[in-house]
Amino acid sequence: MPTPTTAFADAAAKYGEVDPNDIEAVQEWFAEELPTLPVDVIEQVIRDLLAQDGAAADREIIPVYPKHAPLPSLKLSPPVALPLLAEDWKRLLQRLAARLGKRESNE
Amino acid sequence: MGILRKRRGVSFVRRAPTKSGQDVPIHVAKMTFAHVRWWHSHVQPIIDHDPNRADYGWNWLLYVPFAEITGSVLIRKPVGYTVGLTDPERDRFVPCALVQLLGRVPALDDHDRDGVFVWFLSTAPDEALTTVEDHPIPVDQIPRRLGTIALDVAVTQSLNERRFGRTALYADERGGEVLLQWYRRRGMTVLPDEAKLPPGPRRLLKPSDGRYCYYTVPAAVEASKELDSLR
Repeated sequence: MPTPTTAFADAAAKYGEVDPNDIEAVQEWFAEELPTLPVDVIEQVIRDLLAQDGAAADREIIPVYPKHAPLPSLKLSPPVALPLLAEDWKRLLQRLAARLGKRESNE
Repeated sequence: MGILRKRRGVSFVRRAPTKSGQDVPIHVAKMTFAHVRWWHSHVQPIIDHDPNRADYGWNWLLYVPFAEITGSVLIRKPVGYTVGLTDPERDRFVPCALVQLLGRVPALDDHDRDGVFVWFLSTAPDEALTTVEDHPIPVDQIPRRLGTIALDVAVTQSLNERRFGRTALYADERGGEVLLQWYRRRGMTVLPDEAKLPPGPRRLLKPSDGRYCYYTVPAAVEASKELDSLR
């Protein structure tokens, strides 16, 4: 059980004076307003939410789903870059495989 | 191989098996607002038809700001990833699984060491992929093993961030014994219900009840190796 949705709504109400029953306003606050707040406030919001990690929801919030959200663009969703060290590891294995292949063909 | 994997990291999965027998190309991207907006518009409503699912009622539009805004806020290093089908010709990325991790949390089996905690993990039901508007995925092209692949994202993150594979999660009660067995089959160990959690809010709010699962370092390496053919 992760942090309940109600904890997010309560945080938006506490730090953004948003109606905690208006889930779209809560979502908008997290997406638009929270990133513009001072770092210490963001830290406090995160602390509050992590403090509710594992807690049960104390009420139900009716979900609202966005309409007609487009499929994400592949260009704007690039694969996570391979860590440099893992890249080395992959290259090492490729070299080893190539060397073993060459040896087998010589034999 | 295990030492290299622990010391040097490993790449994320790049292919997924399908019913057709052919693998399909997928990749792991940093989770973005566009991914979760589409998910909450198209996938979550289908998930919310099934109150028995562990991810019933989730709202990724609330969770994703963590991944985006906390880069400079070093508490537990939250990070979000999306596993998606790729279609370069039409410039489409179809999210199939979302994973939100806490990247720096005391490990369940060794409180003095850090591990990764799977905070939220969700996979798309088949119905959500076969009904994508303008881009329906044929049934025999639906990526399989999405749960295993999503769990591997967490293990890979742990290996690549010098957590040596240490990964933990809480198996939601709604999943019952079946979910616990699924994690056991993936090589995870279930924390006994009398065991003490590391210091933190969970120790108080959600103490061990026999549903916390974790990978030891050797088990994580073994689980990671199992998916090497898909990397």
